[in-house]
Amino acid sequence: MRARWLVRMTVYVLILSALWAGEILATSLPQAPPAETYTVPKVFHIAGIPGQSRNARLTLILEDKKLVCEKKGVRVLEVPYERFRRTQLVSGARDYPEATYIAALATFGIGGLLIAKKRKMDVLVLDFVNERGGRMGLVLQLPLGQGPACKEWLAQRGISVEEPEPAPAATKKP
Amino acid sequence: MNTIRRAVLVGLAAALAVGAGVAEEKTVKGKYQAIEVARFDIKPGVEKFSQDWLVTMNEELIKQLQETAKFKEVLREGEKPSNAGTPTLLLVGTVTEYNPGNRAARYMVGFGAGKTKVKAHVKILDKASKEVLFEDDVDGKVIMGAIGGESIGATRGLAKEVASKTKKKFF
Repeated sequence: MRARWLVRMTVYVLILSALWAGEILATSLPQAPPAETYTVPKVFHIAGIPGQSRNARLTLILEDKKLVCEKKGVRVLEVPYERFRRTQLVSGARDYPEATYIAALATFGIGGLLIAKKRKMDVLVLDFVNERGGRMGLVLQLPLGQGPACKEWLAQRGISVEEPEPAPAATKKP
Repeated sequence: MNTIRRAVLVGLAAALAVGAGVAEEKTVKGKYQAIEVARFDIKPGVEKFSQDWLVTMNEELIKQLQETAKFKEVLREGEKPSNAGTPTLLLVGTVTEYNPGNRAARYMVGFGAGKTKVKAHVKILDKASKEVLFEDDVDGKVIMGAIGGESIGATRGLAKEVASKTKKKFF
């Protein structure tokens, strides 16, 4: 009876020590960082993606190793970060041409004043090289506030994003 | 008598000059199969022309030159032609003038108000010898369009003019 109890206890101790050792081993091994992505929806394409028109709506996905542009779930551009040569963040603006058109029709022209309204955007300007070593450009308009977030994400991956000073406002002639 | 002689001499000189020009034109026509488009510079004082416009203009230039369907290859800065010996042109330029315009003014007022204008000085060189083969001022404007027309469309206008002049000069 006592021998059986001893055997059982030994087995338990062995199992527990094996589990403990496994845990130590697992934590001591270098672990790959969890695969994360940063997604920016409602991005407007201005230039740089062949086959995509100006103002095409895209989704920008910043992955661990590359930048991806998707249109309706289809990847239209993938650029590994190692191909980046220069990244800039500038400020831009968009107006509402479609909404203006509809408003103008609905209000017998008065709604056309909506064209004077603009919304501010962040503009990501990217210089990268293609497979042949050629200098490519990409211009994307991001919703306001997404630019600094992307900048931070890219900075964590060793990519510096320049923010050129805006041009000084024109001064009136005396 | 002297006047007649002088007139004949001037006429001959003019004919020779025109003939030389025509001969030079013929040597460049159809010679080049590839063109490399370098990123344009911005003239000091035109700082309002921002980097996104510059990159957009460059991409438009490449697209418009491809659409002429005259060059076998339209290369980007840093690319090499498939055949190393292919005679290649190099397109360089400087943005010399920029007026951002105003879409609302174009739509509401019209008659040229709120016009967006981009002007550049372009040069086309023989890439190997760096000899300037063509030099001109080009521009792109947005005066009207759907709901006033998008301002950045001026870069497309400029690119179209460059493509058209290049086609006329070299083909």
